[in-house]
Amino acid sequence: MLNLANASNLSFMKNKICSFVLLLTVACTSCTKKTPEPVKIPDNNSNFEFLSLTAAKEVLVVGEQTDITATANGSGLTYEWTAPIGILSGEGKTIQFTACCEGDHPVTCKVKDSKGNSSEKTINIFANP
Amino acid sequence: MLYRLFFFSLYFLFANFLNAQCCSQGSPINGTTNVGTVDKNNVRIILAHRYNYGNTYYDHTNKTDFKIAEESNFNYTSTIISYGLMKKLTLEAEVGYFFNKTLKYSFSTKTNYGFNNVVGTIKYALYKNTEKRIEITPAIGVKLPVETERRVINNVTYPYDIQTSTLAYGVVSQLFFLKRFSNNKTSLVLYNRNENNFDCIAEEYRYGSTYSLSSFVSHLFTPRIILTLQTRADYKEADFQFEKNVKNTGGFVGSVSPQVSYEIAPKFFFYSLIDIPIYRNFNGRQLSSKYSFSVSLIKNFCL
Repeated sequence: MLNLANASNLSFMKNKICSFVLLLTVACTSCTKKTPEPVKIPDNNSNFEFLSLTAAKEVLVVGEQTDITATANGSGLTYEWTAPIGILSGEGKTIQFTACCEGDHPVTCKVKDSKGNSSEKTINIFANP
Repeated sequence: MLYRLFFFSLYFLFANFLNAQCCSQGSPINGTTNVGTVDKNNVRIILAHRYNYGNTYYDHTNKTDFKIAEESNFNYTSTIISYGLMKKLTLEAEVGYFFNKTLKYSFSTKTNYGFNNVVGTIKYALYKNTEKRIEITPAIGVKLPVETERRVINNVTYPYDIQTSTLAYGVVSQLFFLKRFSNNKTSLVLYNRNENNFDCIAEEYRYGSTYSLSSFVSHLFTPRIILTLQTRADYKEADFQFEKNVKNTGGFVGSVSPQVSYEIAPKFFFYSLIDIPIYRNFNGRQLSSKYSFSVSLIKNFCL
């Protein structure tokens, strides 16, 4: 009798643990679902070309800002900017970059056209204290 | 009266210091955390909201006129659900959402929003001596990232210090020590919480781990009101990227946090606190939190 009661309690506890884990899993996964971007096949006959990535100033002091410009040929161009450290502001082919701390600040721009072609370049901005 | 004091004593709120960083308060450790276990088959739900503001840079220990961001602020709401699985074992889940995490620069304003990490924890009432009025409760848990990639708005990636989570898995460990004094109106709690972050999933970056030690002294002021003073020491390691520490991240902050708790109805409580840093020793120059305040509702019930 006692064993049956223990087994029943054990089963109850297992159910509770499973429910808790399930709740946690749902909470974690329900918010991470993202719609995948449609895959475009690059068009080799387009005139797409990422020509250059240049900064108005490549050496700054911490807190100073500079313009960085991506120059590319092609149709329907979009510019994606990323930097591991520092602050990017603005959008499009020219953005403003602010150095947050001393040292190297790599800034990367990925240019895409409407025909599925893409290319990226990185420029390094150095900041003095 | 004794029951009420006992009940209150287990629900101190832990007002975390949100670690400063180059341009904002950095990626947060979870904002509001209760301590202690709940009874078997009991459930505790905490709903908390927190506002934080900062507008001053510190260079190590001193204020500085240096400014990149003019000010920062955020609004963060979190909920913690605890379930007493066994007499000594409590399962707990915490999830929080930033309605805004804002950095105001002279040249633009950046606002992010989104989920913080989900934290799942197991707490075990290791030692409980009713004669000596002492309790010791350790806990271990995992941090699960809801967001795994940095926020991108208008094709521009936001910096790490305005992300709403650590973008990585992690481990949380806690240790809770409670001593009630013989007058049964005063309690002392010592609370240690460590959060170790792993590497970000999508990029080469790791937020520094955090280590925090708090003491809470509380006194039963009236039958429904308890006043508490929390003092806290927080240390955050520097963030890590490209095999070296990221400059202007990490450091030490000492804070005080006066708190008031009020019993609205049986097993239903209202808490409020204000959190004020009083000492900083940052690595380099960082924008520090000036103050934050939090309000919470706590409801207990038996299944």
